[in-house]
Amino acid sequence: MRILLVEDDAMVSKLYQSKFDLERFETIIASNGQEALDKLPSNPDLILLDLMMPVMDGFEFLEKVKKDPKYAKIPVIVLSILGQEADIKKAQKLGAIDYFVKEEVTPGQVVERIRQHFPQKP
Amino acid sequence: MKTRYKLFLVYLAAVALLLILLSLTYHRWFEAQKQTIFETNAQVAKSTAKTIEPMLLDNYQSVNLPGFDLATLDLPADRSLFLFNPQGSLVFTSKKIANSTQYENFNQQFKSIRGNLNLKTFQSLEFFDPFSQKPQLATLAPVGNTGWLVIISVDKSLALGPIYQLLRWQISLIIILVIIITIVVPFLFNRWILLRIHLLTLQTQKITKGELDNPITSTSRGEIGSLAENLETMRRELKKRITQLVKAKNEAETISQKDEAILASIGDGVCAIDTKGKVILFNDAAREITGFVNERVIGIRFQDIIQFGFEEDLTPNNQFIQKALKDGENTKMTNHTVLIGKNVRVIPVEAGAAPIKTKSSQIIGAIIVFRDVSHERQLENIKEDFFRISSHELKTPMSIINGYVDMILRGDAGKISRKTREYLQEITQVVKRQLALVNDLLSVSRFESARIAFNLQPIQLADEIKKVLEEMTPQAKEKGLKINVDRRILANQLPKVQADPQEARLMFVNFLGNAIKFTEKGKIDVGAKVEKDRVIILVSDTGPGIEEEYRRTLFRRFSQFGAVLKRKSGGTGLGLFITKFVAQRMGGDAWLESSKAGYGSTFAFSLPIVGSKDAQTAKAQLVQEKKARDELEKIRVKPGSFRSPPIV
Repeated sequence: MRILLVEDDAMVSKLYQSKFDLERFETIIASNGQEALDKLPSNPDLILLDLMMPVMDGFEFLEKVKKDPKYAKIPVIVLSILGQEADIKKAQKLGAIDYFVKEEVTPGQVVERIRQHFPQKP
Repeated sequence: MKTRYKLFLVYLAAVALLLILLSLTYHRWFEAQKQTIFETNAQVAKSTAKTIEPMLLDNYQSVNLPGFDLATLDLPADRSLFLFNPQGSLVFTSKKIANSTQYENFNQQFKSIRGNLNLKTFQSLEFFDPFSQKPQLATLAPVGNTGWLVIISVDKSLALGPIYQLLRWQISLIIILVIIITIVVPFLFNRWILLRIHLLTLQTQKITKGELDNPITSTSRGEIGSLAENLETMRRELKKRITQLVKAKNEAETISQKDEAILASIGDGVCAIDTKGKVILFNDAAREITGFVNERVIGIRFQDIIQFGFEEDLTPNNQFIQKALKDGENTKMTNHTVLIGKNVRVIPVEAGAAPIKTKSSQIIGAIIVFRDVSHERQLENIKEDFFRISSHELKTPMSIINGYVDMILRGDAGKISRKTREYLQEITQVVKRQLALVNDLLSVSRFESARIAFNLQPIQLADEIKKVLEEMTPQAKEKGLKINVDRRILANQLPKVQADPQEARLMFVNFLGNAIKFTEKGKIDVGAKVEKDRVIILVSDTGPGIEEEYRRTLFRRFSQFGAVLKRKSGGTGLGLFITKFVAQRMGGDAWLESSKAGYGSTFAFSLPIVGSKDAQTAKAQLVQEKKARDELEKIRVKPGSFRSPPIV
């Protein structure tokens, strides 16, 4: 399974990369929305998206990717510090299929949920 | 009666009396004069009769006419002689007879007169002389016993002429005198009045010049006198009023100077406008804030100088001024207002307007007060950024720690010993605690700066309460505590309230959590009270209760009680504060309903029923803030700019 991890904090991406490595997921990292757009041609199976990033934030990226017919179908799960219901609703409205608040979850829980969404993917 | 009328009457009386006297005098004089003439005539007649007698012939039938000689008769020149025979015909006259007609006339006339006369004696008579065509005064004398008559006559006008003359003179004189008096007296009287009036006028002119100190007097009584009195009263009143006015003016000037001094030193901009919107006052601070330091602004419509607008889109916002001017209401625009001043300078301000009213509550203008809050806005922006960044920065490391700990616990790093597992679990708890603290601290600050978004909507409180109960009942069970829930909550029978569902849940979590934490044994009751405008949720416990000294500051930030809480169970002491703050912002409140040391406590929070006044106010406030926040988001620096570059 190929996951595009869009996260600007290096330590966070390292943490999740470690976990994903253990799960034998392929991880592609982008540190802001613009980079993520550039990395889209790699055709990830899932995008794990942080919201607060420089250059282009998560919301903007999400809007853009969903407008692009080539990549709109890629499922997006949001993983962000922002925990307000308004933000969650906004992300869902823009097309995210799930939402995690970083300090409330562990990488293990995220992986479990991913497996729930994609039971067939190794 | 007034003097002058009396005088006039006296004058009239005098004139009348004079005329009467005159006429009486003249009458007598006339008569006397006539009498004299008659007697003179009589004398002449007598002597003439004596002279004629011997001239009579024929037994007195005729007279020796040629023998008549007027000279011998000694007839005075102004007198005329008429001689009549016993038959009554005129035989001789000294007058010139023009024609026989005249002669006949006289005969006829004499005949008619003769009828009335006693022909034997002297008598006077008056007749009209046909010869001279003039009235005559005459005396008739019989010539002895002959039956012949002699009449001696004189022209009446001749005889009485002098008297008439005199009379005419006197009457003319009198008339002239009367005319003169009638002209002069009123004239004098007029002048007398005019003089008095003139004197009054002079005195009133002094008043016109401003001299109010001299009394107005007049020596006359009557109308002029009363006019003078009235003028004097008027003068005194004028003087009084003017003195008052001058005093008031001076006072006003003093006040005005004081006000000017105050206005000049006020830090806020003050702009006063009249009912047409023209500027009548613009203090120094206003000039500084708007940038119009030296320009002339008085008399100009304020809209031409300054524009108030909404911060978000700069659309005009002058309604608050119109409201003050037209409706007489005090208005305030504390948020999201900007002022566009000179050179299109946009300044965030807090502004307010109030009407200027006269004592009779008539609106004569408005005062606009505004304060430059750019500094505050800046601080707010900095705070806002700080929260966002702190939020991120403070929590991320902890979530990373948690992440690794979790992975190790799951065995991702290999098998771990029991002790390792135990220690790692402790680390997890500590991290949780730290996260909670950071959350609380940031929440408090963010709440205070009113930046938290609430999603107000109609909710069924019972639903939220039940959700929380589901999660937290196990904890209570572990401690052996029973939770009783009000029937209405179980049956969803509470009226809908307006609130953010997440926040409502958190409030209940706070109360229930505290109740569970501090009650060692007994029960917890969750009750509900429905009032006209709000729903109240009560959480009662059988814990130790709260001592008197802690109760006052219970809901304050970092209250003493909070410190106690912290020590006991690692709480932050902020929960109650946040609960109260959040409740109030949603239009409700939170409080300690009752407590008895040793028996337990009851905490309560309320939320406004959908549609109630509190609900509407809260919603309006939050909608406005959200609008502002959304707009601010668009124009501010994107997050992450303060972060260190990723280490890749």
